[in-house]
Amino acid sequence: MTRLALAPVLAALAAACGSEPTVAPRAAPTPDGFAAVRGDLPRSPRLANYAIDASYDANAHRITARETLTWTNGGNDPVDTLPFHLYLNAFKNQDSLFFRSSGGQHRGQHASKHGWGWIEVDSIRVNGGAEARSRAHFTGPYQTVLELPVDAPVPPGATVRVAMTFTSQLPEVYARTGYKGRFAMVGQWFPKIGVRIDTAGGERWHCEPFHSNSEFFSDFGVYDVSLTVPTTHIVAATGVLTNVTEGDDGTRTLRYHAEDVHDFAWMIDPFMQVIRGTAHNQLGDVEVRVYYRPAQAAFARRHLQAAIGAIEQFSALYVPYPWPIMSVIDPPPDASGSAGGMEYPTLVTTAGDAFFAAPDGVRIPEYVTIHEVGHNWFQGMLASNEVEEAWMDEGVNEYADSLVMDTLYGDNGFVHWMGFSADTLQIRRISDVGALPSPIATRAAGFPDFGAYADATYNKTGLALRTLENIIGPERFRAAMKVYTQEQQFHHPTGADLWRTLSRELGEDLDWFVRPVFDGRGAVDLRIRTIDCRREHPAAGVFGLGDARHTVTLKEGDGDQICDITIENVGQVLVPVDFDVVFGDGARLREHWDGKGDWYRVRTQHATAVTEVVIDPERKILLDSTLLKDAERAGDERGPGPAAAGARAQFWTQSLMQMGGL
Amino acid sequence: MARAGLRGIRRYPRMCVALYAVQLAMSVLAGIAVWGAMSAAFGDRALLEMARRGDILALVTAVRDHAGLFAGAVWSALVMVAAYGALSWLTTAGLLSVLARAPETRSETAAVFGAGGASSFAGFLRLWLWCLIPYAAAGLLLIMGAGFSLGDAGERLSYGALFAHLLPAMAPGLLLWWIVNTAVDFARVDLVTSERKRALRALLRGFATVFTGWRPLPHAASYYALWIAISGAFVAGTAGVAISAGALLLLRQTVAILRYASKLWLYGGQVAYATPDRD
Repeated sequence: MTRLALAPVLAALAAACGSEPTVAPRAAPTPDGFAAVRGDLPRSPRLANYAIDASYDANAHRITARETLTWTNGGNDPVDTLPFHLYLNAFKNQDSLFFRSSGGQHRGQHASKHGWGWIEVDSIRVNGGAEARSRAHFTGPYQTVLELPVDAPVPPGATVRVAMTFTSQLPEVYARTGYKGRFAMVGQWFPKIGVRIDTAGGERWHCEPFHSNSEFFSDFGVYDVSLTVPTTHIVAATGVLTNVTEGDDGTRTLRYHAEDVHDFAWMIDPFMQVIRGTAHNQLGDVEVRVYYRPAQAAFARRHLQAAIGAIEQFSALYVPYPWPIMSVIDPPPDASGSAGGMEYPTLVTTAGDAFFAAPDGVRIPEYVTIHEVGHNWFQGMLASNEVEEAWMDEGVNEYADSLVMDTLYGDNGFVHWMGFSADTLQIRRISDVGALPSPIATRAAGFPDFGAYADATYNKTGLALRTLENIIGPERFRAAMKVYTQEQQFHHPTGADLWRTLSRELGEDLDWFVRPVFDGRGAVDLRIRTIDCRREHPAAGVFGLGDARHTVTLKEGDGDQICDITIENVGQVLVPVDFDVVFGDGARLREHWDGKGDWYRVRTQHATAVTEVVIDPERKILLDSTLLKDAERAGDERGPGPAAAGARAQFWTQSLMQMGGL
Repeated sequence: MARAGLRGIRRYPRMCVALYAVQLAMSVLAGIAVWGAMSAAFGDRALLEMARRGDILALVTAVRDHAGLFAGAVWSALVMVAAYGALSWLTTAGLLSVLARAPETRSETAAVFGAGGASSFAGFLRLWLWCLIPYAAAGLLLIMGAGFSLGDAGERLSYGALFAHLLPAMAPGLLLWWIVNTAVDFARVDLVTSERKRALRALLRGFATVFTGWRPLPHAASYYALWIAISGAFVAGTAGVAISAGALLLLRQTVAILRYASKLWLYGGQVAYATPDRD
């Protein structure tokens, strides 16, 4: 057996004994040999360019580094301060805004009680000038933004070089970043400059303290990052590997280069393996790599297929993936909850490896991979402000994910197992999007809690966009979305940009939908109000005048059944909708309400009475929050559901009786 | 023990059928109650039909919007289970009496069943109270085992790995539960066959029986294995398979009958073991 083949066995034995095995040095990786980005260069304005030399202490999980930022003032106003995100200080103590806003738990994962993380900037020099660290100060009571006044304002179009040294202590993995055992996911680890926003004359920095709900926002640029790491470890990072230098102290230095990206993240681990595949798009081949621990090999294969499918589908739906590599990190199970499911340019972390997702028909792992890879479009290339408009990347991505999942895995592609089924997007209707406390267009920190943030940002946005697509028509809507991505790639699009492009491309003002759904708390609430049927017969009563006056007595005829069906929309968003009318003889009639007015009534004449009315039978109006009221039977009609539930209850009761009694 | 168990079932088929009919009737009552409640809430909606077809969204929506109804249904079923449990003290005592005394004729069987049930009911009640103590100990061990293992159960990568992870932690509790269950079974036989209906003494003798012979525990374990195998085969054979309502009803009753028969087989074997000289 080779050393490699023995590694999992040794790891298992060591885990059983309560300690981790020693690891042998790995062969040096070969430089990738790819251009960092494809297409017409440069793809982005490249305002924030970083050169970082970092050294990783694998025992202390600590990084010491030198960083040189070359920043260009791309605006029209001069700039007299430079603010930097120091995200890792969110994990420094319980007084940070992040801890206060999260209560020490992030998306179901709890912060370690002892593995604190922090970042300290030790020195700063601007344009090779004097030491300026003492002039820099934290903004507000938290230490996640460091502001540096500059001696002379940076005029529009000018470039400034800021050289720093800093130390980053990784936390025990929490909220996307940190270590677990020997695994480490290193994200948001270096001082990162804010983004200039707003228009000339009123330009300002956007560099907010790190809140638990909010993610990130930064400018595009070029990254040259050298990582000095133990030779025992494997590294995956943003960009392409351009050079490898062996050290004489058991370390090696890996140099990565990335272009037209707005972040740089990396993973390091001594036990991981990698499998590779190739995705094809209009710009050429993309090498897809999945990094995984041996025990997760079966899941890694699923992640690889999902990532390849995602790159090809997103490239076809929107704009081609421009980078030559996509790395998918499958964190170890004990780190997955915190490190898994996060997006960085050309590198994502996935999740979902668990016993309940082991059957192929439970596609939680595939979905997570597709979602995170999708972020390389809706966040990676269309770098919206995730702090102010989180829905622009999460929600728009959710909508796009559902299209990709449908294409790759068919209807009910999310779960199709043991007789159970669920569609990727439809299942999100479990959230009652008609009862959310805040509109979708709320800044991330403005939601009362994570549940409200997630329901609005992910679920309602995805459901709303798919509803809009279904109303407008998939082909037209997808074509308009494609134009939006083509126009806004490598920019910072806002919600207004999205609606402007869609309205222009679709030739209609979308305010009727956007205002209540995105800017308000509106949803759709379609209901059947009444179903009234009667046998057709001559009208009874007194007719005529004077001598001609006569009385017609009520006579039940044997004519057709006349049925009046009234449906209503008691939600705030009026949408056109189909509904099916089912008659006693099995006949089915498709009706359409254009959504105008508060209610709609249709009269049918048929040999038999209406037995059932089903609103939105094809489930196109995903924003409808009350599925329960969308189908109703008329008269004494009863379906088999309750009887089946009774039979099931009988069997379960009998089973319990057999456990507890004779 | 195994052969004696089978003999018991073969010898008193009418009694076995009658006792099963009682169980079936009580569970049907619970089913009818659930049917009625569901019919009131969902009779004019298609939601339950969708849920029945495996639509997870419909299922969750139905439960979410009628959580009280579903909770009420569960509680009404549990009340029926508790009532059956109490009735089982009577019927189990009667059954064990018949198996122990082996009456010949139908009228003798009825008399022995009635007398055995009536005379041992109070003893069974006292036994139930006494056995709460060892059951509580087993329950505590199970909870502790679950506490140790469930926290990171989500990190297991397959059902096999999950089982391998949970089993060692839960094993002490399950082991004690198995021993207590078997001891209680033998205590019941002791209560039925002895003149003085002293529950604590019977329970202690039950434990003594379990610990002084090698057969009682494996015998009981084979019953549990049979129960799990029958139930597992049903789940594996029906999940996701389109089956007509009638066929499903028939399958479920087949499963219930097989499990019921295996319990009679268990009791028959235990009676034969505890009263070797009755024939």
